[in-house]
Amino acid sequence: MAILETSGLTRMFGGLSAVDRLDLSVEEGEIRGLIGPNGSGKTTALNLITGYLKPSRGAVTYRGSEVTGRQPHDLARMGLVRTFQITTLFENLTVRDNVLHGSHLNNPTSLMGAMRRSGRYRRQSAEMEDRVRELLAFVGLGERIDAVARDLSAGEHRYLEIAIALAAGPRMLLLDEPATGLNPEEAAFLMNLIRTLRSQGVTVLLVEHNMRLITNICTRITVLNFGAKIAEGTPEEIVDNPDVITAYLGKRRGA
Amino acid sequence: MRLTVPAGWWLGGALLVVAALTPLFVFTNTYNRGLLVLIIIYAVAGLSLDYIMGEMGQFSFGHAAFWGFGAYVSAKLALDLGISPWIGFLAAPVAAGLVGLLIGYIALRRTRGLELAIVTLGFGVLAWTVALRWRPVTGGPSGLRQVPPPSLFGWEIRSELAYFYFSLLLLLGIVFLLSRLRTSRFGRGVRSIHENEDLAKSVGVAATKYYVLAFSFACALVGFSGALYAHHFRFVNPNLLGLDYMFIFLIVVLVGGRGTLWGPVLGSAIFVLVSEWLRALQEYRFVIFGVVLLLVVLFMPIGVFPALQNVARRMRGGKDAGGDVTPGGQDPVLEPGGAG
Amino acid sequence: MSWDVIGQQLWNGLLNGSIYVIFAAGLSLVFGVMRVINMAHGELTMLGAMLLFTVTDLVGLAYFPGAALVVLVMALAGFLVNRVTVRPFLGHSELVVILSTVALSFVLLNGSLVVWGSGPKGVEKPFNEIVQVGGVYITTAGLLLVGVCFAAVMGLYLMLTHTKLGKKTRATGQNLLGARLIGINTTAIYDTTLIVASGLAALAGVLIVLVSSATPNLGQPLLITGFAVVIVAGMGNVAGAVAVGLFMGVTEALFGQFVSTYYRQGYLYVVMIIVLLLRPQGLFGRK
Repeated sequence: MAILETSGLTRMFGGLSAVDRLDLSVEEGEIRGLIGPNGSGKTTALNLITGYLKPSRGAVTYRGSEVTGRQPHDLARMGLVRTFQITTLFENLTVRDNVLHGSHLNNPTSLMGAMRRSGRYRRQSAEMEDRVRELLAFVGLGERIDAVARDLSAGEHRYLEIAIALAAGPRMLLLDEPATGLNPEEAAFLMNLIRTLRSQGVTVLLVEHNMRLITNICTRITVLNFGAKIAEGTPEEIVDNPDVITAYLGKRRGA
Repeated sequence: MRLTVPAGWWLGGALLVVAALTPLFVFTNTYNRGLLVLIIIYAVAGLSLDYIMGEMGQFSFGHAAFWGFGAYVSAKLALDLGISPWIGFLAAPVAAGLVGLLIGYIALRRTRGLELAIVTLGFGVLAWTVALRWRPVTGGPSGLRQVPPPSLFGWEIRSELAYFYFSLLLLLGIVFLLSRLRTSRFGRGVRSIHENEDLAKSVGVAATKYYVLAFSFACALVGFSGALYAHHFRFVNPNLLGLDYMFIFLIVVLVGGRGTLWGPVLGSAIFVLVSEWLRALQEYRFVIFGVVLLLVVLFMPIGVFPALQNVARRMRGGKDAGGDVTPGGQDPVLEPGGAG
Repeated sequence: MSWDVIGQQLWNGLLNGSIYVIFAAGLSLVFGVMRVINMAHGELTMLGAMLLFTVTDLVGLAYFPGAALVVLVMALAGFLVNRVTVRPFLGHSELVVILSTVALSFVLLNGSLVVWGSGPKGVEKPFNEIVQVGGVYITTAGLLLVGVCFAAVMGLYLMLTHTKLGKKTRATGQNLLGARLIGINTTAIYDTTLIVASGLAALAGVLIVLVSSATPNLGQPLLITGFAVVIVAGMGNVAGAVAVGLFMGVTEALFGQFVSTYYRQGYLYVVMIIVLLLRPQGLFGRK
C-alpha cells in the first residue's frame, strides 16, 4: 500500500512551474530515490510534501488521508519527518540537547510534573536520556554527546541531523541530499544507516543529485527534470533509460 | 546553552540573601525600602521581557504597554468595584495574558524578528494613545490616584518592609517557576523554535502556537509586575505604557544579561540603585543611561550576570560558557522566517 | 459636510503627508540597504528642527542659509551615527542594532530636553502669506514645504536609479556579500546611506517648522508614524513609502476632521495592523 502519494502536485513561481504535475507514489517500506539535475524541483517537491510550501495545485496523500497544505508540525506528528538540504541543527546546543529538543513528540512529561520535579517526571526524563544516547550511538555520535553542535565536522552534522529526525519517531523519512559534503567513507556509512532504518520499518524518500550514490540503495527511483517526472523505475531501468541519460547523465558528462 | 545551574543559583542565592537583609541593615528608611520594592517590580518585568528576548529570541517593543495595562486593570478593579488587590494580582496577569494571546496571535502568525519589533511597537503606542485619551475609563493624562494597597486580614500592607518581603517571595517563586519551565516540554519547544524554527517544525513543534502561548505568558508576567507597581505606588498613568518604561526594562535585561534567570534581577538592582545615585543629575540621568546602554551592548554584550558567572567559573578552574549573545555569533531567529 | 472643509483637510493632509514621505523614505532606505531599523531617525528630525531654531533665533541666520547649514551638518552627523551606533554592532544580531539606536535616540531626546527644554520654539519663516484657493487657505510656507519634499524625493529617486552610487547602493541592499564580491566598498555605501537618510531626516525637521513649531518631543510620534508608513508600504520599499506616506497624511487629516481628533494617530496604527493582518509583507512588498 502506498504510504505517500502526490497527484498533479504543482508549484508555480512567477510564471514558471518549479514542480509540474508531479504524480508520485511511494510504497511502505521502500527506499525511494528522487533525483534530477540541479534546479529540477526536487527540493521544492519535498517542501510541498512536508508543508513548508503551499502547492499551487494538486494533492498530497499520506497514509490514506489527504494532507495537502498541512503544517509541517502536523505532518511530523503523523510520522512524516524531513531533513534539510543545507545542514540544519540547533547549532548553539550540545549534541545531547539537539536530540532532546528533537524528541518533542516523544516527550511524555507534563508541565506540572516538570514544575514539581515529580518522581514520574524524573523517570520519564531518564528514559528520554536513554533514548537520546541510543539514537546517538546508532548514528555514531555516542562519543560526541557533550560537544556543541556547531563544532561538529560536516559528516557529524549530517549524522546529527538524522538523529534529530529519528527522535521525532518517523514512519516516513524524507532526506534532502543528506550526503552533500561527505567523503566516500562517510557517505557509505550514511547509506548503511538508511538501510538499517528501512529494516526497522521506516520508509525513506531520498533526494539526491548524485546518481551513483543512490543506485546502490534505492528500491525505485523517480527522475525529475524541469519540475516534471521524466522517468521512474528500478535503478537498473533508470540507468538505462535514454531520456534520463540525455536529460541528466548526458548533460553531466558534457559538463 | 545550558545554564550551569550551580554557579547561577549560587550567585542568585547570594543576591537574594543580600536583598533580604538590606532593608534590615542598610536601607532602613521608608524611602530606600521603597527602592527595594521597585527593584523587585522591575526585576519581574525584566524577567518577563527576557522570556521574550532570551527564551523566544524575539523582541517586543510593546512590553511596557502590557505592564501598564496590568497596572490599570488591578487599579480599576480596586477603585471602581472595590475588589481586593489580592484578586487584582491575579486578575491583572490573566487580563494581560489574554490580551497578549490576542495580539500574539495577530502578530506572531506572520511576523518575527525586526517586523515583530515594529508591529509590537505599533500596538504599544496604540495602547498608550487609548490610555491617554479614554478619559472616563483611564482618567486621561493624569491617570488614577488613591489606588488602595493590599491588606492582610484587615491589615493594610502599607509598610514598605512588608510589601518588600511579600514581593521578594513572589520574585523567588517566579524565578523558580521560570527555571523549571525551561526544562519542561513547553520550555524546550520554545527554545527549539528560538534555535531554529524550520527544524523545530520538522520535529513536530507547533511553532506559532508555542510562540503565541509563550508571548502571552510573558505578557501575563509583566501584567503582574504592573499590578505590583499600582498597589505599591498607589497611582497609575499613561506613561506606564510608554517607551520610557520600555527603555528601563530593556536596560534591566541587557545590563543584567539576556537569557539568564538571575540577570534581570541583578540588572534591576543595578538600574534602580545607579539611577538613585545619579538622582542629583536629574534630567541628565536618561542621557547617561543611553550612553551606558550603548557601552554595555558594545563591550559586555552578554551582560553583567553571565560575566560574573564566568568569573566564578574561572575561579574554580572551569571554562567560560558565554551568555546568549556571543560576539560574532548570530541570532538565527532574528532573520525573518526563511523564504522556502 | 462642506467641500471647503474637505479641501482644507486635503491640504493639511498633504502637508503632513509630505513630511511623512521624506521621513519614511529615509527610514525605509536605511532598512532596505542595511536591514537596520534606525530608532533614532525621529530624533534626527527633531535635531534638525531644534538646530534650525538655534541658528536662526540665537545665531541670527536667515531661514534658508540656516536650513541649508543644518541639513548639511546633520547629513555629516549621519556618518557618526553609522560609525558609533550601527557599524560596531553589525556583527551582532539585528536586535542589538535596534537597541543601540534606541540608546542613541534616548541620548538625543533627553540631551535635547536638557539643552532646549520641552517648550515649543517658533522659527521665523522666510515668507508666510496666506492664499485663498476656493474656500481653502493655503500658506506659501506650506507650498514651499510640499515643493521641497517632492524635489527631495525626486532627487533621491534619480540618485538611486540613475547614478552609479545609487546602483551600487541598491546592489548592496539586495546582496551584501555579492556586492562585496564584485568590489563594491560596502562600508562606504553604508556611510553614504546614513548620510543621505540623516540629511533627509533633518530636512524633514527644517520643513516641519514651516507649519508648526520645534520641540524636542516631535521625534517620537513622527518615528512611530514613520514605521506605520514603512510597514504598510513594505519594509525597505522606498517608492512604496512615498505613496503610502502621502496617503496616510491625507486620510489621517480626514479621519481627524470627520471621525475623531483624539484618536488621529491611533488611526495610522489601526491601518498598519489591518495591513499586517491581510498582507504582512506590506502593500508593495515582495514575498
